[in-house]
Amino acid sequence: MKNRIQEMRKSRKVTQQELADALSVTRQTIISLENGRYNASLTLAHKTAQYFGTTIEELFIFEGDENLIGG
Amino acid sequence: MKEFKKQIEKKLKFWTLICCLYPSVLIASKAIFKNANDFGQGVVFGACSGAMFVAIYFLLRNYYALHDEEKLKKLYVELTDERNKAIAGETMKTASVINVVIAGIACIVAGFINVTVSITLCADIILNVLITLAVQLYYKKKM
Repeated sequence: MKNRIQEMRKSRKVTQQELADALSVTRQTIISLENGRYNASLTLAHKTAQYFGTTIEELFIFEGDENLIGG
Repeated sequence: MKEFKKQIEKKLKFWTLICCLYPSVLIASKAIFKNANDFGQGVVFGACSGAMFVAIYFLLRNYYALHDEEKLKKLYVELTDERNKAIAGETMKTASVINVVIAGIACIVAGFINVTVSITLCADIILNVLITLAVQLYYKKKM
């Protein structure tokens, strides 16, 4: 799942460490999120969206049927 | 964070208790295994000492976290970070599969050398699988 965390973080001139501290996660988690190597949980997605004053849909780009089982 | 601090306090008490119990466990094990061979006694002493070092590590970590807000926050992030938790879960899953496969191969190879070792390894695999199934059943009911 792609996201706009890096874009939003840079536009607000926030460092990865500052964002990590605000979300109570490690800086490595922020790096992995920005690189798309790790998908945030619903809680973290919500907290991140809240931090940037946006919605989860705006922040995370859901591309079709990723990892969908069945259906 | 207050809730987390309480948890750390509880953990500190637990590890302190373990450290205090160490001498009595060591004396008791000496008394229980006094007729065992040197190797057996050494294994018991080694296991107790290993547990003691682990207890000291966790005791110090929790103690310093309780007396320093910065360290407490760092510990909180370290323990609650969801990526760390996901990595730990995936690591355990992969490691346990590799473990069973290696034990299976060792069981087959040992069958040609020593039957007792082969049966022990086989029992270990069966126990491993049973524990996995039991834990899976627990989480299926819990979640």
